[in-house]
Amino acid sequence: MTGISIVGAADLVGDETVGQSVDQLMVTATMLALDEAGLDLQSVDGVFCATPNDNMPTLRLAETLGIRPRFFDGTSVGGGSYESFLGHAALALQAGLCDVALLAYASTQKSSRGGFQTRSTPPAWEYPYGLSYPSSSFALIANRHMHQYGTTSEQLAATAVAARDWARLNPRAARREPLSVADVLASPMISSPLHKLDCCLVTDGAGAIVLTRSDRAADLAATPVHVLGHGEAFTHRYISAMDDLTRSAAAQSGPRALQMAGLQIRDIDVFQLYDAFTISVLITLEDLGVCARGESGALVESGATSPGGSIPLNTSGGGLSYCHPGMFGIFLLVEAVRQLRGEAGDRQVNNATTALVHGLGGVLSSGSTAVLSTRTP
Amino acid sequence: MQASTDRLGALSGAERELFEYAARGQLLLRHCRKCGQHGTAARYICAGCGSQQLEPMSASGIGTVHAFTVVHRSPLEQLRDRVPYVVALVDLAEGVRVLGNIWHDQADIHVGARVEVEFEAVAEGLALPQFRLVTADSPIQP
Repeated sequence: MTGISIVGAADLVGDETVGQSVDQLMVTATMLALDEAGLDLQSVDGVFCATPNDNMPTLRLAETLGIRPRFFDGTSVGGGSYESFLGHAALALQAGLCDVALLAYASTQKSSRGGFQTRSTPPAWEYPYGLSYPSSSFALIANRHMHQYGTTSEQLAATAVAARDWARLNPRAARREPLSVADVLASPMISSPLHKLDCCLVTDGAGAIVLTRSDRAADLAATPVHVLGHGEAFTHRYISAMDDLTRSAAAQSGPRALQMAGLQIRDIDVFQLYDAFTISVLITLEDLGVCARGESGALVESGATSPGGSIPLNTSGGGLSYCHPGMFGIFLLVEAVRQLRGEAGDRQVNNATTALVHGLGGVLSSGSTAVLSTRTP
Repeated sequence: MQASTDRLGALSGAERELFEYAARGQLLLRHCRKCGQHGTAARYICAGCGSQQLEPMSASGIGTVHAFTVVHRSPLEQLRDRVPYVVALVDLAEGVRVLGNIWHDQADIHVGARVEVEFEAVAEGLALPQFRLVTADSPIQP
């Protein structure tokens, strides 16, 4: 793929969101992203939004902003919708169906005391059995992975510890206090084998990404980050229909994105992999071919994905320690852009020029992968 | 009575059939007349060949545990006093995977454990397929 670039990226977390409604947060994030690109609001003519405060999220966003886009996409595949939006925006821009694409998301589920918000109710053949959505489904996945590969609770916990170690380098992360494997194992069990600290946070937050065709990007303010490849895949909606509990849609979406980019997994300098739960990170690492099947627990335990390691992963602190306002996809993209622009401060990965971002949705149901780089293809 | 119906959530058509069959002591699956593959009760089209020629059939009730979790925080008010309880994915002998609770012998539940179906009455004419570990004393299913 050639010719599509991210020219604006912004997010709001924690204290930055106080007192703002969902609509207002999307406006604030949008304007931050447009300002750093040096673009006018009225230039936005493609909107991509899956914010669950409205059944027609793109229309709600456009009305709130006071714009009339000629292209819209509200694809709803869970938290990874925003990685799918990146690919869809790239296609729309390439086809000339829009010139400036805006992805925006916001949620106030923590301050609204709504708890983890989802529009999902399990179907009749799952609901009566009292499984928590989505944590019990991920718990079943973890249970199977442990049975099949010998993955341990300590290795799941090490994933949360690695995320926290990155968050400790991020002044804007929600959780920055030291965390040990023992701390994770001592946290309340939600649905075995997943403890509370194996699960993502519930916070408020907002994010926005702006894309244009690359020939225009060079004239805009910020360092453009090029979209080299994207891919999406789906395996199921609800857990009882998941064929192989140890293998997610990332096994298809990842290779699709890399192939489009003309790259191998070893060419990736930094990874942002949706960490809804510790187990989702482990399975995604295996699906992408970062390590062999069953080896992800040992990989994380070795420190390879922690600060200073050879496989920098979830460098903001992730959904486990940075923020997680219901859907985390846009925040993965924003962090990838920051790393590639050299704006990541103490958590900066040296010489990071190419990033892989993977979003997931549902109960490890959908996978959407993007490959980004500051190198022109 | 309302609380029992709430346990099942909103039901329609084929979804309700599963629980009606269960009330009659049968675990409902679908059998594809075209390719012979079996599917869950709520399938309308065969996942194997795409045929809509699906007929109801009664499963043997025998299966093995594919994965399980012990729920410590229940989303269902009706189940809060039964926490912690097991939710399991069961691979039925017919090659179909379903979800169910295993209410007893929690300490003995493991991946690969053999189970057999039992039925939990929920409301008038409606029951839930559930599973129990197979023991030496279990009646042999026909």
